[in-house]
Amino acid sequence: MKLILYLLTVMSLNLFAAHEALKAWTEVISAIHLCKFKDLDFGEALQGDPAMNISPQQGAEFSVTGEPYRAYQILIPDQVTLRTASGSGPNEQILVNQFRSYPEKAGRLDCDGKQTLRVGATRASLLQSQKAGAYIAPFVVTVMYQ
Amino acid sequence: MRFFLLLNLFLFATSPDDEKTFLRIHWKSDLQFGVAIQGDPPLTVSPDLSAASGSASVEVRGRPHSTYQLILPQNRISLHNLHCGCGARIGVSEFRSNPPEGMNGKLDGNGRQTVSIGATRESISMHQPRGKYAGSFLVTAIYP
Repeated sequence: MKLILYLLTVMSLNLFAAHEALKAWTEVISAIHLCKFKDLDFGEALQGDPAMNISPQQGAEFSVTGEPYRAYQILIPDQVTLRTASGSGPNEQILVNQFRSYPEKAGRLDCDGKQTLRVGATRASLLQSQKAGAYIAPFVVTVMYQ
Repeated sequence: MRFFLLLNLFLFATSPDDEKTFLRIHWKSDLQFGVAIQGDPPLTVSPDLSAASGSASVEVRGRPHSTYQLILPQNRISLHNLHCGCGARIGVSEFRSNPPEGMNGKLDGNGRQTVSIGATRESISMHQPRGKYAGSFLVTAIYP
């Protein structure tokens, strides 16, 4: 009898209170990483040489790793200026533009979460007075999940 | 003892047309933190009624125009990895609701009110195992 009364009382109290169990969700995916294998190298050139194009297949090479099958966006620069010595005058600078990548603009990681990314560009023609030396400039390639 | 018996008889004899008199919570949506990348900072989902926010929502039903108290989890809960069986967890805390927790619930003329619930997911470590994570939390509504 006492048990029945207890159960009835608990049940009746439940009329004045209500509970609901909800769920919280999230999904964690691997961070995306970019690892450079090969720089963009225009090789040797002579003063007065014409512009030179390097296709993505012959250019810089990166490994992109991350979450399998995920699509990602690729950001490459519009242009950079290679410099030698102080790099202050036009004859100490060489413009590099028309950056292109393969895949272009966006890629998709394979079943192992990997893809090779290649970047090419065009080096401007050289002045007759172009100073001899090694011309270097860093450029930034960015990948981010779409 | 007679008092309890009478109380119970009264409560159960009341015509449960009276669904409306009883307080109930009906699930509408879970709390969604979406996709997180290893290394991501903490993420707060605000208690927003728009579906895009990711906030959880419930509908409280009871006596029209009555007020009620809303109670949310006070402590951190854990979301558990559903795949790896490695015991990996992600903490969720700072639960907030709209209307706010406490004596702020008020049912409308039809005896209903939608409550949205948000919270903060802790930062994701660079080594957090991949996969889906889920955890439960309890929402309570009480007549004063």
